[in-house]
Amino acid sequence: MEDAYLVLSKLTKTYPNQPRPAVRDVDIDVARGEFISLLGPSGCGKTTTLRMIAGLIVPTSGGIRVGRVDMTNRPVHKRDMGMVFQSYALFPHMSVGENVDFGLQMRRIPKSERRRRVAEALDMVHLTHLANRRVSQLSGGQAQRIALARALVIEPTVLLLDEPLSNLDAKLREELRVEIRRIQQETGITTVFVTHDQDEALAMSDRLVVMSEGRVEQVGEPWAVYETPRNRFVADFIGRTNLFDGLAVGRDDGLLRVAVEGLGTLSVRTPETGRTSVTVMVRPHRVQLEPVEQLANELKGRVVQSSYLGDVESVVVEVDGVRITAERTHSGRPLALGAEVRLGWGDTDAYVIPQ
Amino acid sequence: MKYLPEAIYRTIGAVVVIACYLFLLAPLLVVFVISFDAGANLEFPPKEWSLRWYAELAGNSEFLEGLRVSLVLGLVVTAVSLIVGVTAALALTRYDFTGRDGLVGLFTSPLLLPSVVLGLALLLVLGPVGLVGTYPGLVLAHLSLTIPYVVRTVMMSLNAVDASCEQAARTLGASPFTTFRRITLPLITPGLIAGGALSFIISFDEAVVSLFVVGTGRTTLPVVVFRYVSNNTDPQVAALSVVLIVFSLAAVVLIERALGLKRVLSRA
Repeated sequence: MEDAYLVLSKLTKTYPNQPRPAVRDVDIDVARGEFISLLGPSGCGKTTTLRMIAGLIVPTSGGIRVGRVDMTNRPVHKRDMGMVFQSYALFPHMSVGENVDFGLQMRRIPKSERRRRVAEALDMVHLTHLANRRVSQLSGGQAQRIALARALVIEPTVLLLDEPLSNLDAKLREELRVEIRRIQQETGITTVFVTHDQDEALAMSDRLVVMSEGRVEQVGEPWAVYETPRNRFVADFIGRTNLFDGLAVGRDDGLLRVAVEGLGTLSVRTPETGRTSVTVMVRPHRVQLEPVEQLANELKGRVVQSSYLGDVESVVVEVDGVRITAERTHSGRPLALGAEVRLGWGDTDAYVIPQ
Repeated sequence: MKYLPEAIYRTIGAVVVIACYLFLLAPLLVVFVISFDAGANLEFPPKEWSLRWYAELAGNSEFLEGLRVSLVLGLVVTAVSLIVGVTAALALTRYDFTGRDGLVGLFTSPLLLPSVVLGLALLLVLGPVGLVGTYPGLVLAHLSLTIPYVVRTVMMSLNAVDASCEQAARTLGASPFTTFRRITLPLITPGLIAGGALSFIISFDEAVVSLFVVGTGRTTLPVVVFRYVSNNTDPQVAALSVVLIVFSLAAVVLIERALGLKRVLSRA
């Protein structure tokens, strides 16, 4: 990327006494003002990567650059990065206002300006009325908003968010998700967000970085990562999915014919892959139950599991020993276990995973 | 079978608690009473009352000198223990290095070295270098007793502080030292007061180890008392004990006020 602002190059962290590096050769370019999420299961190295950006962990090798400035060996307190922690990390012996003021004090900013900027920061998170409160009197959502104000008041070059929503309950999490994104867009701050929650990552980010075992698996816009995962891990990790391993047996008119045990021959519209052993992905919401129109792939099976979730019904259908998950909306009464159903999907509803 | 009413259990409980306290406090009460005895022998109960022994105490230069040595020693030992203890505790809780787990184990295991052994060992070490009966010698001897306690209490405080608070301060532009001064130190203050009080009391109260290392030089109060009691049987020591009890009660109340107040403030 030519206008990259935050650049991680070949970033690697190896801990003594651990055979595998926690983070291995991570290359990520973040554009100015971009919101990028590091997403992956626990232990994938996303938090280690974030902490290396902040300077809290010293990389074994590789480099970190912000703008034209090499940050790799710069101490934490000279990096000008704002960070928000999962545990809020507010200073318990200071009031809310003093917490927000701390970073400005460290910068030896005159008192009158400090007062103005603290007020602005509190206003940004709509918590001006809490300035004189003790930290222990805040709710989780309030505490994390204050932590955000504290990180942003110093006008950092980069905002680092380390699972900031994980300690909050579901409803609050969604509310704060929207608010963080709003503030990020208003301030135009370059943001790196670490999460294990794919909904959060999909909803908030300009781009996602999916990580596993210390490595970057895929970088891309949320829809692209969801619709066209680069490998099996990403397909499986982002969203729910059906994966069928099969053999490419023929090709005509842009349609790949894939033989899958138990399902017969499936048709997928895909560019030439040149491989014979392929994995076909079909997202559950693309699978139609009792389709009314003619579809490229049609099957018959028996319902073996059904979860009614209100807005959708998630149904597992067994077709000749192969389990296929389908989702239907406006479902009304859920399907009975053991019921015979027809199901199918179009040739553009499936996707062939490249690797 | 019928159950006894709860009131009976409560009464039994109260009786046991009172009995325990009596057992613990009775000797102190005896000392308290005897200190007001007008006679020249340790006798209970006294036949006549007076403040005579308090007056003699005020004029006893050996006791006063011992008290002075013990106070100076206690303060120096406490200050040094806190500096060393905080530094060590920081290293043990915030940094990872080879041998750390071993050191943590050493500092957190029960401190069960017999004082007699320690006293003898210190005498053998301090003797040849000419530190027996000197302030530096006594300070070193007492530090070997107090530092583990201070390290322990400060480590407990440090473990209770969320390390991400310190990290947050660093990202906000605070140098490691500023972070310690502005964030860590205020948050571990209760631990410091507790550790400091403990180390002062240990130093002030220490008799066995001191007995070995005072030699013929500077002598601490407990050693003076020990020697006095070996040669005399008058109630002057009882008067001294009462003074010390009042002194330590005042200290405990002060600390409780300070710590209690802190807790109240953090919640307000």
